[in-house]
Amino acid sequence: MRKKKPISLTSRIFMHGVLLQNPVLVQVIGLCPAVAAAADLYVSALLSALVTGLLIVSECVASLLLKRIPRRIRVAVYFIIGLLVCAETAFFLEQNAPELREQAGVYLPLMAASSLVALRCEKIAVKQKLRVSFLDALANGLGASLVLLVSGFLRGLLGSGTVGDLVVFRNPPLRGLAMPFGGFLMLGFMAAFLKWFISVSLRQNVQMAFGIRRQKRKSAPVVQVQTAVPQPQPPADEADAAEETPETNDEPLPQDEPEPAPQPELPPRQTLPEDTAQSAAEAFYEQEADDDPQQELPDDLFAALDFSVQAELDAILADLGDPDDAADEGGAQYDA
Amino acid sequence: MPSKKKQRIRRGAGGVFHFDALLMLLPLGVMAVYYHGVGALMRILACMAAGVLAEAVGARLMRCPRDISDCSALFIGAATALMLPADIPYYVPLCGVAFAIAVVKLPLGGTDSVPFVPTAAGFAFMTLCWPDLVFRYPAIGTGSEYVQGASLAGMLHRGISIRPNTVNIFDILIGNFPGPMGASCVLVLAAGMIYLAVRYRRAIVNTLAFLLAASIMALAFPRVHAGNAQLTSLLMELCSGLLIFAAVFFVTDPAISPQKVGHRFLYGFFSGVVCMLLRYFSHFEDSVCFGILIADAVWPAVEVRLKRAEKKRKKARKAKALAKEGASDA
Repeated sequence: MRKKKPISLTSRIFMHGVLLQNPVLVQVIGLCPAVAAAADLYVSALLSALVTGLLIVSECVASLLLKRIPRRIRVAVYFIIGLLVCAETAFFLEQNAPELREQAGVYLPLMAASSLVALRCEKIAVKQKLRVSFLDALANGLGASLVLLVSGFLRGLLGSGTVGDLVVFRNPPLRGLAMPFGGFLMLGFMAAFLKWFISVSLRQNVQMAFGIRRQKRKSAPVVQVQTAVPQPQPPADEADAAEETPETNDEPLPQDEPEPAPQPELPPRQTLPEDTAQSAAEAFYEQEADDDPQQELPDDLFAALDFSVQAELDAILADLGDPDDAADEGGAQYDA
Repeated sequence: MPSKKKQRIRRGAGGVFHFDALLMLLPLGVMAVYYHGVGALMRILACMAAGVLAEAVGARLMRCPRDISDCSALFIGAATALMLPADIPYYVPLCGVAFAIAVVKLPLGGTDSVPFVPTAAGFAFMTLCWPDLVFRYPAIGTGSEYVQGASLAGMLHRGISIRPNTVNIFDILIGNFPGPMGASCVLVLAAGMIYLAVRYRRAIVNTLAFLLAASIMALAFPRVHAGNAQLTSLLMELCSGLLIFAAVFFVTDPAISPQKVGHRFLYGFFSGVVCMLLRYFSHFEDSVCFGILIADAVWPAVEVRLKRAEKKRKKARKAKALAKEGASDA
């Protein structure tokens, strides 16, 4: 059997940021531009470029400079970095593309306070090396950008009848999609599609890549009857054997230890025979899991994937050397 | 989590309700065909077929239990068609039905636990996507030639009053007036209300409370100022758009309606107030469906507080009774 090729850290980070933990569709972060502003392809492209650039700048700065700074100051620094980038972009657009600046409206300056940037910086950048932070920023920016671009394309096409400057429909078929409620609808459909794509199309690859094993359903609880049903008699051979070795069970207790309190006598328990409730339920669940290929993956696929990916990522990064402790120590010293 | 027994009871109630609602829609459909011809019938049948198809396909894709026998898919299809103009292009109601079932009803829990009225959500979707088509009513009796008629809701929206010498009130009551093809015939809707009162004694409380709220608002804040403004306003508000239709079919939906009679009254009244407020301030000429959706979204929070207050009151009563008993014993 051919040995599986190990998947590189870069691939894992990109798989995680673009698909499995897509910041907009799965983590549901940074919805404001995706819902309200991404109703046109040009605006979506602008916001995509901005969010990716902002993530890269912020995460790189956080990884290089902010590890030894306490959290309450770090978060303010992210917003200042965002403000610098967004202000520069806004001035540049006002000079060169005022129409696009006008279309982006209030959502362009609002990107300065993007929750996505603050979250990724706090979760990854201040704990990892520059390379990992850069890759994480790129992957998450790409994931958010893909969503924004697809949403902008479809909403522009169906809601306004245009793709960029090109007029495709004079009477747009679904005018409501250009409104914010259309943005929510579009994101809902895209999230459902992504979930289906991961769970069905990528099932084998994801399982191989992230070592997700088949998760069996919990077997049905053992049915125990508390009534005084006589216990079944053991076979004759076993009864004889028990009678022959009584001393082995009556070993004297050590002198130091107190004698255990006598257990209150419980009514005799009777487990139903195997061919009744329990075995039938187990067989039913087993058969159901075998019949339905979709049941091979756990119900909460995203949670399982997240756990698996995060665990593996942590293990790899621990091997590479985790500066988390040093950063925390530095932060504590700074606080003191 | 409700017990299995309770679930079974609710499921049965939902299925029976939608079957009865379909029966109530039948005379409205007949009136629509009488006024608007075969086109109306074709649209109703197409929407019902689309409802069943959307339910089958959506349930298969989402792997949720499919139960066409509860008639809700048929009801959503027929109701959506009857809420629209008679000459609307086919794709509009078909999209509305597909939205109501595939986006609202199936993902949000199915017939018995959906938190919003799917038909109202479908109509809201159509209103937002095609506002110029959804409120473009043809004049009745113009044959194949299209002549746009002014609906009562449109007149109210523009602040125009009807004049008793030019408009026959009986025509308004029997639906011989531009408007939604199945929701303008007030007399047939009133007959449906009587059927509802006979079949579901509690559900009629919702309807009456809704209409009471709408009537009070219409009398207190008339949108017309000609002649006897308050009475004209009451007549026009009640007979226009989807108000009575919503009172009969949406406010009484068993999946959303509260169980206790007092709560039902409050829910109906609250929905009526919200619908009328939206009618006054909305951009569209008839925003009853938006009002229903808002009321559905807000009501669970209100009901939780009502139940808490009731519990507190009960506890206080018990404590008082115990204190009295203690005092008498002493």
